[in-house]
Amino acid sequence: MKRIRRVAWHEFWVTVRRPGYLVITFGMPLFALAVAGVSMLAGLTAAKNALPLRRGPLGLVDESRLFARLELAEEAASARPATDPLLPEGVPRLALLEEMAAGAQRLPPLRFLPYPDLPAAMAAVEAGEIDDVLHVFPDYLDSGRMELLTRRPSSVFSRDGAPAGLRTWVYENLLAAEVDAKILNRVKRPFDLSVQVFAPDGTFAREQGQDRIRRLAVPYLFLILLIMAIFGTSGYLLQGVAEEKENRVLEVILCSVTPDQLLIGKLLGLGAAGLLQLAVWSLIAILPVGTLLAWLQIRPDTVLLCFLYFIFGYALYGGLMLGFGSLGSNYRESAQLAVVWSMAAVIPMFFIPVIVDQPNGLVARALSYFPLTTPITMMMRYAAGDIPAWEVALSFVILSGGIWIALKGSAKLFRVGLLLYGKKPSPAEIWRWLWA
Amino acid sequence: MSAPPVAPVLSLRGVTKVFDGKPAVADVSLDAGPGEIFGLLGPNGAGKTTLLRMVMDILRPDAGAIDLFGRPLDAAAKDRIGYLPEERGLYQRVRVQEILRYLAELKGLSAAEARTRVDRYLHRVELHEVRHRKVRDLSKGMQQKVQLVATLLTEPDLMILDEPFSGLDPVNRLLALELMQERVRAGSTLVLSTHIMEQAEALCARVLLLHHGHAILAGNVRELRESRSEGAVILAGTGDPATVPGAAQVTPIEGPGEPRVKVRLQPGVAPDRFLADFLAAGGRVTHFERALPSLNEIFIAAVRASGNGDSAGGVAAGTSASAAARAVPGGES
Repeated sequence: MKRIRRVAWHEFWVTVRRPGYLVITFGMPLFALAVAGVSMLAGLTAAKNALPLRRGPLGLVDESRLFARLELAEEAASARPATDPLLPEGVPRLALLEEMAAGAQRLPPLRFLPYPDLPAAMAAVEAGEIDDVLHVFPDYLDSGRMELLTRRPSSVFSRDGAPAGLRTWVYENLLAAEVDAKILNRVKRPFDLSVQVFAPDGTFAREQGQDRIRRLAVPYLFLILLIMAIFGTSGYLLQGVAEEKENRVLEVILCSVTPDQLLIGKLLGLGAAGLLQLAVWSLIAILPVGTLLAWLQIRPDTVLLCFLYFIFGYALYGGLMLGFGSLGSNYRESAQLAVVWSMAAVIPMFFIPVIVDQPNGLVARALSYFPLTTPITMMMRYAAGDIPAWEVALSFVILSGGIWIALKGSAKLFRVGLLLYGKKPSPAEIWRWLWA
Repeated sequence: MSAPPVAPVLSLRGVTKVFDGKPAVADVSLDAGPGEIFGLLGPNGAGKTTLLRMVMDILRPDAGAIDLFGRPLDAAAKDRIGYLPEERGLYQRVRVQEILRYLAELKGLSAAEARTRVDRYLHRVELHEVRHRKVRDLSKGMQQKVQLVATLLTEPDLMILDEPFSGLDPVNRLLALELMQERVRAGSTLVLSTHIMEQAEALCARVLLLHHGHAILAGNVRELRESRSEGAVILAGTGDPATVPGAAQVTPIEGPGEPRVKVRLQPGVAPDRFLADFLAAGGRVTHFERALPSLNEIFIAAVRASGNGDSAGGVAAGTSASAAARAVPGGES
């Protein structure tokens, strides 16, 4: 035990002083914050710049003769809900969000300049009087055909390429004379739906827009956190053993400790380095995104489970990577040999929508019971919805079994691999060593 | 050879290791006693490193038994061994004193004792000034010395050194030799693995020669050489040794320096008798020695006698390699 402790401490101490580790530990969150900041600023700038572009009137060539009202005042403002569902209640609005909201409020009314025919409208475009022409075909009522002739491509956020407010403008022009104003309003905003979710205590709770965002964001957050933590730390293991092989230091170490002691010591030491990294990331993240985390309402038991799934997931993947990675002669070969386990780990990512939407569905459950996909799937399921406690317990039983098998096999490969130089083993050889 | 007076420190019995159906080490037995320098000899690929890895429990033998300090190898016995492998290296990005302390503590030394020993040995090999430098910043020779210190600073009872002088300049080779001999004088056993026969001839009391994994020759170095003596002497000086009655054949020896001749003596003529007769005949002598074959010559002859060493029973000169190697010397030169 003393030797395992000493190996673990050595691995930890050497790793946490590596420039690469320090850069990732401290640089990555700062980089992520910088990227987030820059993209928000870019978004704000785009919002500021993009909206006024639509201020100019659209040319209208109405061959259907159906559109008498050429101007729709304050369409955007009337269509907007009183409260913004994206902004958390009780959370102070960030200056940036305020700015973006103000930008949305500055949305100008949609104005039209009528033209008798298309050539006249295009001449106005050529002359720089207008930028866009809405062409309503004569058979519009039957076919719905319209075309927008414009200098600018449609916004990627537009559902059908229509300028904001066009739909409401069409409703008003077609129906204002036909139906009551109240009916017209209902056509424009058909309902104000309140979803009441049945709670286990027998009551109903109103589902807010942010609840749906939470259900998606929290599993994503933990998915990213787990993948980064598990594979970042396992990567150090792989790098460490590859370097030791390249430096030919292993035989010196093996005259003092057994391969099993070395394997366990490395797993513990680098696991501690991974935990430290997680802790640093969390501390750095708390300050700037603390309000966001508070809004996400992440429960302490979710954080605890994330910690436990990291430990178990790291033991599983780290053990496998160490065993298979030890068979390479250098880092490149080791990474090639260990990549199969990384591939297995990302399988749940292909099923994110299914897992998040139906956390107790068949796919989510099946992936939870396969050790290689258990940690990430279970973490997503737990963050996405209520999972029975027995399933959480079962996942740890499955993971424990997986870890036991993985470490047993990896220890065999590790013993062979430590002194294997110059030749990448074939799958048949690896299979034979596993069963030796 | 005389019977062993003390229990062997290292004892191998019929040790065999097979890789992919080919024996890397085949039925090798040897004993090395306390305070002895034992040579494990053979060309590259002979099986020396595999044998030593089995002694260190890095590889498991397919057959045979290995005892250390009178019992099968265990963790406690391993702590009493200083092993310098042939494939050696150090953590390149770790500081010298840090890596030495780590290796010392892995051998069971307390942190305080490791600190003291590391300081002392670094002073001893004149590397104390560079103790804070990273290994990658040291010259190859310095790194070799750090390796040697790592092996010796636990003051092991058994030193297993695989090609310990490779990469060392003559001055540092002498320093390394002094360190090893200090330990031997203190009672430690040294198992020296080398493919340089001259080195073994100069240092080892007994040797075991491996070829293609087989022990083809073993025994006391002096006895091995004397047993293969042709009854000849090497002579430098003035006078004609061919006129001396005991001389059977005189052959000039090629080489730099003073001209020398090899004189094969007639059966029954002792070298001292021949020398006395030569001087009596008016000859003058500046150099005189018995002509004994070198270990290298003996090894080559043994390989040829064993049919290139491919047969398991290839043992030269009628001596059982295993049996000869088992005899632990007591007071032999």
